[in-house]
Amino acid sequence: MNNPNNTQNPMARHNGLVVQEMPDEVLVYDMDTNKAHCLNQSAAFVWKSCDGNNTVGDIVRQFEANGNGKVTEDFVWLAIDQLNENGLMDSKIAPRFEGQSRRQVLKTIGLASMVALPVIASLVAPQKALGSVSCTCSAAPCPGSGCPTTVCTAGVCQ
Amino acid sequence: MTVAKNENSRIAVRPFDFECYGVKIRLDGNDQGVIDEAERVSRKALLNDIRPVTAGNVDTVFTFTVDPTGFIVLNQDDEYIDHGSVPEYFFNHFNSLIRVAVAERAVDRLFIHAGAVGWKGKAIILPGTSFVGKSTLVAELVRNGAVYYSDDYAIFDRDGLLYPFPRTLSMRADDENFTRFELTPSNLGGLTGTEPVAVGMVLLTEYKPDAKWDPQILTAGSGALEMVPFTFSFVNRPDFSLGVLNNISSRAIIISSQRGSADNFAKTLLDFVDKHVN
Repeated sequence: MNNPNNTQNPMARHNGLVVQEMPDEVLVYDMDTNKAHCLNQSAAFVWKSCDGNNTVGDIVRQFEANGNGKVTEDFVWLAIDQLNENGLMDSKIAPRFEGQSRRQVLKTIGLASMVALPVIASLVAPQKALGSVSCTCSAAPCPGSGCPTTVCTAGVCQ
Repeated sequence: MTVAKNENSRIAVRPFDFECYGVKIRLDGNDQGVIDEAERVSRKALLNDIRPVTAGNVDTVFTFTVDPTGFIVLNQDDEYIDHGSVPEYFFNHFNSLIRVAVAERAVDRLFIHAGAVGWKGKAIILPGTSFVGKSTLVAELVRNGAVYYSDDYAIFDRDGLLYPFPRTLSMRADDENFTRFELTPSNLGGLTGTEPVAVGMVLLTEYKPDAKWDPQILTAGSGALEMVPFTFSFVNRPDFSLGVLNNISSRAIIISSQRGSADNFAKTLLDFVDKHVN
């Protein structure tokens, strides 16, 4: 599973992001991709620990020292892979678990871990609100989604 | 409404500039009658909570151009938005546009596309797109004793407190044309909220025939994330928006579930709130 590209000290991305700390999670909005992400506690810890100085081994030790529970390097790499996929790392990092399905990886790491696995949920923020807000219409086209149909009938996309 | 057909009418036109929730808007065009109608619609759409202003820059401009045949073209900040010859439909759509214009730019307030009611001192928020049954559920909750706050725009301050935006409830009949009609809280035997209130529950739901109530509790972060698509100013002001979403979802419980018909579901929901919200 070793990959020479993964020996670097991972560095989290900060530019172009809006970050909101929550009690047990972190919300991140990526202004470049217009995506919002929710990092659970495990993913958030790893992300914040990726300062370009810490090695993965350092992050494991800090995670455990913080009272979060015992984890492996694969656990941290699982978080880094997801952060990387979502554009939240400063530089592209070679995938650690290339060739394995996410299901296989989760099963392997999950069975060995008593700690909540790192999870990142994401969605695209709407650029224009009206499509999701109003199904009123006049002559302009109805929004492509969010209303019963795209046909304007009697002032409503219905 | 009479649409003037005089090409020289631009000479006599007087734009209407106003401010609402800190947003300055201009209604302009080449026909005074159309501008006056746009002002009337704006006042109704924004519950007359607008203040005419006379000087300075505005944040956005709606321009109504009437051609000699009475056909109206609407631009917003020089971008084509709509056109029409049926004033009822045209201005009904403008009613939505003007509210969105304010919601996307409001200063110190966050607008979320959601129904909202008060129940025993806490708010229940129902985010959702059009046609998921928000107004129907809000109406049933009010019929069951909840206090009406809004049927489609929930307004929050930076601390996450909900403020009333009590337009008449915009209902659709259960017929093939979704015929529209309006209700007031008093039609439902209910009251309208007047004071800001903290949020007790955010319910992410939509109506599905025969759906079973199967409430899943989301984490605060997941709940806030799920509210992003319904947050008007999110892209314009992500830092402010995320802060308010945090203040809402960190203090409320966030539930996700489909639901069946509103008349049966309203009581179930209020019982659930009684059990799970302090």
